[in-house]
Amino acid sequence: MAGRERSGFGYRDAMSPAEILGWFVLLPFALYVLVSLLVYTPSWVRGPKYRPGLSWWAEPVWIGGTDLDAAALAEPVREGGGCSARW
Amino acid sequence: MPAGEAFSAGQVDAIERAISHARAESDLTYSVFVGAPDGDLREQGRQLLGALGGDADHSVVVVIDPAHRRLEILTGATAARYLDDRATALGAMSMTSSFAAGDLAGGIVAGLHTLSEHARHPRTLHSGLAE
Repeated sequence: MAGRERSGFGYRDAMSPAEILGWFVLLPFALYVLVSLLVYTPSWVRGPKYRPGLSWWAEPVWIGGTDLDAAALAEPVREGGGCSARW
Repeated sequence: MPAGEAFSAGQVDAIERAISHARAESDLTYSVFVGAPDGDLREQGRQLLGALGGDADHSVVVVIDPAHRRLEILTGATAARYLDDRATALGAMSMTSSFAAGDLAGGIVAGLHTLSEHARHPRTLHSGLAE
């Protein structure tokens, strides 16, 4: 009917499409990125983590040793001692 | 675990420092192999020890297979005099307790520390002199 007032809720000021995009898309996305960075950064800094029971895909490494390719051709040493362990 | 390096640069640095500290403390040479070799891990360790050539007698090689959760510690003939099998078992125990918690680098550092503590001995003077 003509002259009748509209009822219901609404914004006091109209928002432009750019404001809607900023407040409801960009801001939540920025928060999502920030929280993700806060969660993942420590593990990135610490480096890869070994998980017992899962496969090991890393390249063999011999720290404090010699060339690994040459070691494959070396004659095994039978003298000495040592121990074995599992976890 | 993604394909690539086993340890970060910081972890490698910590292990290298532990190796040089262990060497300075016990006068033995330490090295750590981490990989997933096929076959007998002990045989692999003996081969690594052999690859050290003249240093093999004074060396301790730690072979870690994270895929199968196996560990071998091998000592050369002279190193075994200062680091008997019981002492290597203690070193292995301190390593495996960290490995089980997922801390490979920390376990290696702790194990090397334990090994070098038990292998500590007075420096032999005049050993190279003729009788």
